[in-house]
Amino acid sequence: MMPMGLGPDLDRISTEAIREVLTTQFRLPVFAASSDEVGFASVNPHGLTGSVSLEGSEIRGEVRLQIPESWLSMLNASLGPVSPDPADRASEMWDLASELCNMVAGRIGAGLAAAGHVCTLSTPDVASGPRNPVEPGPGAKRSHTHWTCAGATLTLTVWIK
Amino acid sequence: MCWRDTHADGMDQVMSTGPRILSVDDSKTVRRMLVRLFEPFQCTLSQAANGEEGLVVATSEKPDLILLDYNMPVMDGLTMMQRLREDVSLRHTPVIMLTAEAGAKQIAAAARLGARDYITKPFQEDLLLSKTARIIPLVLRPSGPSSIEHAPDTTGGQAAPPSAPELKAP
Repeated sequence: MMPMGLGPDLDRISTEAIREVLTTQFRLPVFAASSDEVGFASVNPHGLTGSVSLEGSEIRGEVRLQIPESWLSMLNASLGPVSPDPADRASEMWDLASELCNMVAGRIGAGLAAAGHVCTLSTPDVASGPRNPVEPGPGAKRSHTHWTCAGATLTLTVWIK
Repeated sequence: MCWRDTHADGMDQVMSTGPRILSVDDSKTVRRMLVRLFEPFQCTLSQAANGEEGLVVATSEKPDLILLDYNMPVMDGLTMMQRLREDVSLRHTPVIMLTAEAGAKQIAAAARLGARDYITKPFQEDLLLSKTARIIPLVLRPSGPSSIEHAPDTTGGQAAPPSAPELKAP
Protein backbone atom coordinates (compact mmCIF):
# COMPACT_ATOMS: atom_id res chain seq x y z
CA MET A 1 0.00 0.00 0.00
CA MET A 2 1.13 3.51 -0.73
CA PRO A 3 1.85 5.72 2.31
CA MET A 4 -0.80 8.41 2.81
CA GLY A 5 0.24 11.83 1.59
CA LEU A 6 2.81 10.50 -0.83
CA GLY A 7 2.42 9.28 -4.35
CA PRO A 8 1.42 10.81 -7.65
CA ASP A 9 -0.51 14.04 -8.15
CA LEU A 10 -3.88 12.54 -9.03
CA ASP A 11 -5.55 15.86 -9.84
CA ARG A 12 -2.87 16.68 -12.41
CA ILE A 13 -2.95 13.21 -13.93
CA SER A 14 -6.76 13.25 -14.11
CA THR A 15 -6.81 16.69 -15.68
CA GLU A 16 -4.32 15.72 -18.36
CA ALA A 17 -6.17 12.49 -19.05
CA ILE A 18 -9.63 13.92 -19.65
CA ARG A 19 -8.29 16.85 -21.65
CA GLU A 20 -6.25 14.56 -23.88
CA VAL A 21 -9.14 12.22 -24.55
CA LEU A 22 -11.70 14.89 -25.38
CA THR A 23 -9.41 17.11 -27.42
CA THR A 24 -7.40 14.44 -29.25
CA GLN A 25 -10.12 11.92 -30.01
CA PHE A 26 -13.18 14.11 -30.29
CA ARG A 27 -11.74 17.58 -30.92
CA LEU A 28 -13.84 19.00 -28.10
CA PRO A 29 -12.52 21.73 -25.79
CA VAL A 30 -12.93 21.00 -22.09
CA PHE A 31 -12.77 23.35 -19.10
CA ALA A 32 -12.93 23.07 -15.33
CA ALA A 33 -16.60 23.39 -14.39
CA SER A 34 -17.96 26.32 -12.42
CA SER A 35 -19.57 25.76 -9.03
CA ASP A 36 -23.06 26.22 -10.55
CA GLU A 37 -22.37 23.58 -13.16
CA VAL A 38 -21.01 21.26 -10.49
CA GLY A 39 -24.16 21.70 -8.43
CA PHE A 40 -26.37 20.73 -11.34
CA ALA A 41 -24.23 17.76 -12.27
CA SER A 42 -24.35 16.38 -8.75
CA VAL A 43 -28.15 16.12 -8.78
CA ASN A 44 -28.65 15.20 -12.46
CA PRO A 45 -29.75 11.56 -12.54
CA HIS A 46 -29.87 11.32 -16.34
CA GLY A 47 -26.52 9.93 -17.25
CA LEU A 48 -24.22 6.95 -17.41
CA THR A 49 -21.26 6.19 -15.21
CA GLY A 50 -18.31 4.24 -16.56
CA SER A 51 -15.76 2.63 -14.28
CA VAL A 52 -12.42 0.92 -14.77
CA SER A 53 -10.41 -0.79 -12.04
CA LEU A 54 -6.67 -0.25 -11.74
CA GLU A 55 -4.56 -3.11 -10.44
CA GLY A 56 -0.83 -3.18 -9.86
CA SER A 57 1.65 -4.86 -7.57
CA GLU A 58 1.88 -1.71 -5.44
CA ILE A 59 -1.45 -0.02 -5.96
CA ARG A 60 -5.05 -0.60 -6.75
CA GLY A 61 -7.78 1.89 -7.50
CA GLU A 62 -10.63 2.92 -9.71
CA VAL A 63 -11.54 5.47 -12.36
CA ARG A 64 -15.16 6.62 -12.61
CA LEU A 65 -16.54 8.94 -15.25
CA GLN A 66 -20.08 10.28 -14.92
CA ILE A 67 -21.50 11.52 -18.22
CA PRO A 68 -24.85 13.22 -18.98
CA GLU A 69 -27.04 11.30 -21.40
CA SER A 70 -27.75 14.35 -23.59
CA TRP A 71 -24.04 14.91 -24.11
CA LEU A 72 -23.49 11.24 -24.96
CA SER A 73 -26.31 11.46 -27.47
CA MET A 74 -24.66 14.45 -29.15
CA LEU A 75 -21.29 12.71 -29.26
CA ASN A 76 -22.86 9.52 -30.57
CA ALA A 77 -24.44 11.42 -33.45
CA SER A 78 -21.06 12.95 -34.31
CA LEU A 79 -19.64 9.47 -34.94
CA GLY A 80 -21.99 8.80 -37.83
CA PRO A 81 -25.62 7.98 -38.48
CA VAL A 82 -27.31 6.77 -35.32
CA SER A 83 -29.42 3.68 -35.28
CA PRO A 84 -33.17 4.26 -35.72
CA ASP A 85 -33.78 1.49 -33.20
CA PRO A 86 -33.97 2.95 -29.65
CA ALA A 87 -32.42 -0.19 -28.18
CA ASP A 88 -29.49 -0.04 -30.60
CA ARG A 89 -29.09 3.66 -29.89
CA ALA A 90 -29.00 3.02 -26.16
CA SER A 91 -26.43 0.30 -26.75
CA GLU A 92 -24.28 2.69 -28.78
CA MET A 93 -24.38 5.24 -25.96
CA TRP A 94 -23.41 2.66 -23.36
CA ASP A 95 -20.54 1.57 -25.56
CA LEU A 96 -19.48 5.17 -26.00
CA ALA A 97 -19.52 5.76 -22.23
CA SER A 98 -17.52 2.59 -21.79
CA GLU A 99 -14.89 3.59 -24.34
CA LEU A 100 -14.60 7.13 -22.99
CA CYS A 101 -13.93 5.78 -19.52
CA ASN A 102 -11.52 3.23 -20.96
CA MET A 103 -9.51 5.92 -22.74
CA VAL A 104 -9.44 8.21 -19.70
CA ALA A 105 -8.40 5.30 -17.48
CA GLY A 106 -5.70 4.39 -19.98
CA ARG A 107 -4.20 7.85 -19.81
CA ILE A 108 -4.45 7.84 -16.01
CA GLY A 109 -2.72 4.47 -15.96
CA ALA A 110 0.04 5.92 -18.14
CA GLY A 111 0.36 8.90 -15.79
CA LEU A 112 0.59 6.61 -12.79
CA ALA A 113 3.19 4.46 -14.55
CA ALA A 114 5.26 7.55 -15.31
CA ALA A 115 5.16 8.29 -11.59
CA GLY A 116 6.43 4.78 -10.85
CA HIS A 117 3.11 3.08 -10.11
CA VAL A 118 2.53 0.54 -12.85
CA CYS A 119 -0.97 -0.91 -13.11
CA THR A 120 -3.20 -2.69 -15.57
CA LEU A 121 -6.76 -1.78 -16.49
CA SER A 122 -9.89 -3.86 -16.17
CA THR A 123 -12.41 -3.91 -18.99
CA PRO A 124 -14.84 -1.00 -18.46
CA ASP A 125 -18.15 -1.35 -16.68
CA VAL A 126 -21.09 1.01 -17.24
CA ALA A 127 -24.13 1.69 -15.06
CA SER A 128 -27.09 4.02 -15.42
CA GLY A 129 -27.14 7.11 -13.22
CA PRO A 130 -24.69 8.11 -10.52
CA ARG A 131 -23.23 5.29 -8.48
CA ASN A 132 -22.71 5.10 -4.77
CA PRO A 133 -20.06 7.49 -3.49
CA VAL A 134 -16.51 6.27 -3.83
CA GLU A 135 -15.29 5.18 -0.39
CA PRO A 136 -11.88 3.62 -0.84
CA GLY A 137 -11.14 3.64 2.89
CA PRO A 138 -8.14 4.88 4.88
CA GLY A 139 -4.81 5.36 3.16
CA ALA A 140 -6.29 6.23 -0.21
CA LYS A 141 -5.65 9.22 -2.43
CA ARG A 142 -8.66 10.58 -4.24
CA SER A 143 -9.28 13.08 -7.00
CA HIS A 144 -12.80 14.35 -7.74
CA THR A 145 -13.05 16.87 -10.58
CA HIS A 146 -15.81 18.36 -12.73
CA TRP A 147 -15.47 19.33 -16.37
CA THR A 148 -17.53 21.36 -18.80
CA CYS A 149 -17.55 20.17 -22.38
CA ALA A 150 -19.98 21.25 -25.12
CA GLY A 151 -22.49 22.52 -22.57
CA ALA A 152 -22.47 19.51 -20.28
CA THR A 153 -20.72 18.69 -17.03
CA LEU A 154 -18.73 15.50 -16.66
CA THR A 155 -17.48 14.24 -13.32
CA LEU A 156 -14.24 12.30 -13.01
CA THR A 157 -13.35 10.46 -9.81
CA VAL A 158 -10.11 8.57 -9.29
CA TRP A 159 -8.83 6.83 -6.19
CA ILE A 160 -5.76 4.76 -5.53
CA LYS A 161 -4.27 3.14 -2.46
CA MET B 1 -13.97 2.13 -48.54
CA CYS B 2 -16.30 -0.71 -48.03
CA TRP B 3 -16.81 -2.49 -44.79
CA ARG B 4 -17.72 -5.89 -43.61
CA ASP B 5 -18.99 -6.82 -40.20
CA THR B 6 -19.13 -10.39 -39.12
CA HIS B 7 -20.09 -10.10 -35.49
CA ALA B 8 -23.39 -9.86 -33.69
CA ASP B 9 -24.09 -6.25 -34.65
CA GLY B 10 -25.59 -7.66 -37.81
CA MET B 11 -24.00 -5.70 -40.62
CA ASP B 12 -23.65 -7.41 -43.94
CA GLN B 13 -20.91 -7.71 -46.46
CA VAL B 14 -20.76 -5.15 -49.23
CA MET B 15 -18.24 -4.51 -51.96
CA SER B 16 -14.59 -5.50 -52.01
CA THR B 17 -11.82 -3.31 -53.32
CA GLY B 18 -8.30 -2.31 -52.32
CA PRO B 19 -6.32 -3.61 -49.36
CA ARG B 20 -8.16 -5.42 -46.59
CA ILE B 21 -8.04 -4.07 -43.04
CA LEU B 22 -9.42 -5.97 -40.07
CA SER B 23 -10.39 -4.03 -36.94
CA VAL B 24 -10.59 -6.17 -33.81
CA ASP B 25 -11.99 -4.18 -30.91
CA ASP B 26 -14.74 -4.87 -28.41
CA SER B 27 -15.81 -1.23 -28.62
CA LYS B 28 -18.32 -0.51 -31.34
CA THR B 29 -17.45 3.16 -30.80
CA VAL B 30 -13.86 2.56 -31.89
CA ARG B 31 -14.95 0.47 -34.83
CA ARG B 32 -17.29 3.29 -35.92
CA MET B 33 -14.41 5.75 -35.64
CA LEU B 34 -12.32 3.53 -37.89
CA VAL B 35 -15.11 3.12 -40.43
CA ARG B 36 -15.37 6.90 -40.63
CA LEU B 37 -11.60 7.33 -40.77
CA PHE B 38 -11.03 4.89 -43.63
CA GLU B 39 -14.20 5.72 -45.51
CA PRO B 40 -12.43 8.06 -48.00
CA PHE B 41 -9.95 5.37 -49.04
CA GLN B 42 -10.08 2.44 -51.41
CA CYS B 43 -9.95 -0.35 -48.89
CA THR B 44 -12.12 -2.93 -47.19
CA LEU B 45 -12.63 -2.73 -43.44
CA SER B 46 -13.79 -5.86 -41.69
CA GLN B 47 -14.70 -5.89 -38.04
CA ALA B 48 -14.62 -8.28 -35.13
CA ALA B 49 -15.46 -7.72 -31.47
CA ASN B 50 -12.86 -9.95 -29.82
CA GLY B 51 -9.80 -12.04 -30.59
CA GLU B 52 -11.75 -15.22 -31.21
CA GLU B 53 -13.97 -13.56 -33.80
CA GLY B 54 -10.89 -11.82 -35.16
CA LEU B 55 -9.18 -15.16 -35.83
CA VAL B 56 -12.24 -16.44 -37.67
CA VAL B 57 -12.39 -13.34 -39.88
CA ALA B 58 -8.63 -13.30 -40.43
CA THR B 59 -8.66 -16.94 -41.49
CA SER B 60 -11.41 -16.40 -44.02
CA GLU B 61 -10.39 -12.99 -45.36
CA LYS B 62 -6.59 -12.92 -45.06
CA PRO B 63 -6.38 -9.21 -44.22
CA ASP B 64 -3.43 -7.09 -45.28
CA LEU B 65 -3.41 -5.33 -41.90
CA ILE B 66 -4.99 -5.94 -38.50
CA LEU B 67 -5.76 -3.10 -36.08
CA LEU B 68 -5.90 -4.88 -32.76
CA ASP B 69 -7.14 -3.89 -29.31
CA TYR B 70 -5.47 -5.28 -26.21
CA ASN B 71 -8.13 -5.75 -23.54
CA MET B 72 -11.13 -7.62 -24.88
CA PRO B 73 -13.52 -10.23 -23.52
CA VAL B 74 -13.43 -13.84 -24.75
CA MET B 75 -9.92 -13.54 -26.22
CA ASP B 76 -7.55 -10.61 -25.70
CA GLY B 77 -5.35 -9.07 -28.35
CA LEU B 78 -2.10 -10.68 -27.24
CA THR B 79 -3.61 -14.14 -27.29
CA MET B 80 -4.97 -13.48 -30.75
CA MET B 81 -1.51 -12.39 -31.89
CA GLN B 82 0.03 -15.57 -30.50
CA ARG B 83 -2.52 -17.61 -32.40
CA LEU B 84 -1.86 -15.63 -35.57
CA ARG B 85 1.86 -16.34 -35.31
CA GLU B 86 1.15 -20.06 -34.96
CA ASP B 87 -0.87 -20.11 -38.18
CA VAL B 88 1.28 -20.58 -41.26
CA SER B 89 -1.11 -18.65 -43.48
CA LEU B 90 -1.45 -15.69 -41.10
CA ARG B 91 1.85 -15.46 -39.25
CA HIS B 92 3.17 -12.63 -41.41
CA THR B 93 0.02 -10.50 -41.27
CA PRO B 94 1.06 -7.02 -40.08
CA VAL B 95 -0.56 -5.94 -36.81
CA ILE B 96 -0.86 -2.46 -35.33
CA MET B 97 -1.93 -2.46 -31.70
CA LEU B 98 -4.58 0.18 -31.01
CA THR B 99 -5.26 0.21 -27.31
CA ALA B 100 -5.73 2.24 -24.14
CA GLU B 101 -3.05 0.12 -22.48
CA ALA B 102 0.15 2.17 -22.41
CA GLY B 103 2.30 0.10 -20.09
CA ALA B 104 5.88 -0.75 -21.06
CA LYS B 105 5.22 -4.40 -20.24
CA GLN B 106 2.28 -4.56 -22.65
CA ILE B 107 4.18 -2.74 -25.40
CA ALA B 108 7.14 -5.09 -25.01
CA ALA B 109 4.89 -8.14 -25.14
CA ALA B 110 3.27 -6.92 -28.36
CA ALA B 111 6.68 -6.18 -29.86
CA ARG B 112 7.92 -9.67 -28.99
CA LEU B 113 4.99 -11.09 -30.92
CA GLY B 114 5.91 -8.99 -33.92
CA ALA B 115 3.47 -6.08 -33.74
CA ARG B 116 4.51 -3.56 -36.35
CA ASP B 117 3.38 -0.58 -34.30
CA TYR B 118 1.67 0.39 -31.07
CA ILE B 119 -0.76 3.29 -30.89
CA THR B 120 -2.42 4.30 -27.65
CA LYS B 121 -5.97 5.59 -27.35
CA PRO B 122 -6.97 8.36 -27.61
CA PHE B 123 -5.32 8.25 -31.02
CA GLN B 124 -4.60 10.99 -33.49
CA GLU B 125 -6.36 10.05 -36.70
CA ASP B 126 -3.60 11.39 -38.94
CA LEU B 127 -1.04 9.36 -37.01
CA LEU B 128 -3.00 6.16 -37.48
CA LEU B 129 -3.43 6.89 -41.19
CA SER B 130 0.27 7.56 -41.68
CA LYS B 131 1.29 4.40 -39.83
CA THR B 132 -1.25 2.42 -41.83
CA ALA B 133 0.08 3.86 -45.09
CA ARG B 134 3.55 2.59 -44.22
CA ILE B 135 2.16 -0.93 -44.37
CA ILE B 136 -0.56 -0.91 -47.02
CA PRO B 137 -1.31 1.47 -49.89
CA LEU B 138 -3.94 3.99 -48.94
CA VAL B 139 -5.37 5.68 -52.00
CA LEU B 140 -8.29 8.05 -51.92
CA ARG B 141 -11.26 6.70 -53.77
CA PRO B 142 -12.40 8.73 -56.75
CA SER B 143 -14.54 11.75 -55.96
CA GLY B 144 -18.16 11.91 -57.01
CA PRO B 145 -21.13 9.87 -55.95
CA SER B 146 -20.19 7.27 -53.43
CA SER B 147 -19.88 3.77 -54.78
CA ILE B 148 -20.30 2.35 -51.34
CA GLU B 149 -23.32 0.29 -50.49
CA HIS B 150 -24.61 0.65 -46.98
CA ALA B 151 -26.50 -1.85 -44.93
CA PRO B 152 -29.53 -0.37 -43.16
CA ASP B 153 -27.88 -0.12 -39.77
CA THR B 154 -24.44 1.03 -40.78
CA THR B 155 -23.05 3.64 -38.43
CA GLY B 156 -20.02 5.09 -40.04
CA GLY B 157 -20.14 4.73 -43.77
CA GLN B 158 -22.21 7.79 -44.52
CA ALA B 159 -20.45 10.14 -42.14
CA ALA B 160 -18.60 13.13 -43.47
CA PRO B 161 -15.02 12.04 -44.07
CA PRO B 162 -12.48 13.55 -41.69
CA SER B 163 -9.81 15.87 -42.95
CA ALA B 164 -6.94 13.63 -43.86
CA PRO B 165 -3.90 13.94 -46.08
CA GLU B 166 -3.76 12.01 -49.32
CA LEU B 167 -1.67 9.02 -48.49
CA LYS B 168 0.02 6.59 -50.78
CA ALA B 169 2.42 3.82 -50.15
CA PRO B 170 6.04 4.91 -50.09
